[in-house]
Amino acid sequence: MSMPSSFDHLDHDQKMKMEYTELVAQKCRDNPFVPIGILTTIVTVTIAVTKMKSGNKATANKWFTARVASQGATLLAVVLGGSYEGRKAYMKGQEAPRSIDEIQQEKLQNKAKERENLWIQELERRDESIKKRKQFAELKKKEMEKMKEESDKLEAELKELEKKVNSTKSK
Amino acid sequence: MMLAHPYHVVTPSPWPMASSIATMNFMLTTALSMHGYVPASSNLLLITFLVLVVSIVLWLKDTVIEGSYLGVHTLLVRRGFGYGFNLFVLSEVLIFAAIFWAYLHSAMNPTIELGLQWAPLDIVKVEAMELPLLNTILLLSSGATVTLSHHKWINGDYKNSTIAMFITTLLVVVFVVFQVVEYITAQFTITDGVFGSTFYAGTGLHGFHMITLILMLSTVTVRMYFRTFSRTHSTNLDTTIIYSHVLDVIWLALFVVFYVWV
Repeated sequence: MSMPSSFDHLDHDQKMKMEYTELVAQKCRDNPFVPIGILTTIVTVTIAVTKMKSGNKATANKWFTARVASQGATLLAVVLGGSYEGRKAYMKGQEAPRSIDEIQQEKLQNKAKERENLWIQELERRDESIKKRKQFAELKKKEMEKMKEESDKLEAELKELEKKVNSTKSK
Repeated sequence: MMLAHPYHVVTPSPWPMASSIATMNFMLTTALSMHGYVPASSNLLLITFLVLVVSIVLWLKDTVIEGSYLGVHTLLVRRGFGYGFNLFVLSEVLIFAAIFWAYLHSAMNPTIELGLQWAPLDIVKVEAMELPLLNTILLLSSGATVTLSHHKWINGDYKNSTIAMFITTLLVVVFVVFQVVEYITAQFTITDGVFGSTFYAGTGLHGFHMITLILMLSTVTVRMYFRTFSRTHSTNLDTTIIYSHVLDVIWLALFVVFYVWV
């Protein structure tokens, strides 16, 4: 199941345009208990390891218990935060409850649509370039014809001159 | 024999050399079979893995005998083990820091090849609220049972401590099995761009560590069952507990960054 979040009112394109840093910052603002929980877990486990190192096993065990508790609280924050956002969206009527398959299907459709668009853009690009190349080829063809005409003319002139020279020689 | 110093001067042993060669064999066979030089039908991979496991087990057996029966693991020697293990844990944390760095570097700067988005275009990511959530709950439960086991051990309730450690081992085994299921059902692979690479590098490295943790937890459970630890002389138990807690915390960070915040 997709995790409900405060981005659900954005459409697919808008969501995809968000930068990852913005997305993480928004997620942290939505549910600050998650980053706080992670930090608390890391701090408690570090303290527990230092206590263990100094040989104070009973205290270390207490800190390890605190670590498990804070990790559990973080997990709870992740799940409850998600369900809160989902409920909020539902109450606003932004998103009717949908089955997992429907959500997955929609995602796949969005991806397929995006892929199709990109492919159409690519085909248009190719079309454009083929057109340009055709135009260029035609231009060159015309230029060549012109040059051929000119060269034919020059050849004819040359032949005439040769004829004149030959006739003067024979005289 | 009376010693004039508290250090453990190790006697000549074949296991360092044997396990080095076994490691090299295993690594070479793995690499060669990945590139198709060793046919998939051959049993070389299994044989080299077994040789590695046997040499590790035999070395471990010698170490347990030295520690539990010969009494050469004095307070000073155990303190050395502690330092060594803590440095090892630090290096593990740094490896994971590097992988998080790689992931976040790509996530914050998705290139044009990725469709300028994260998760990249065409990637159908693993849903956080499905198997990963269950895995997180499993690991959290294993954290609770390992803490219970530790608590019981400190208070001298060895039987319940052993049972709790056994349950921890089972929970971690189930975690690894579910991780394999997740990999099989995932709709992208390690070759699917930087997302696939960093995702599988992060979760896969964690998975490898979990497999190591299973080996450590089962060793500790067997040793607890045969009472080769005492309440004050239990370096193997202490280090395994630290390792399991640290890996749990790393998973929490992996879960949030790799699965939830995508």
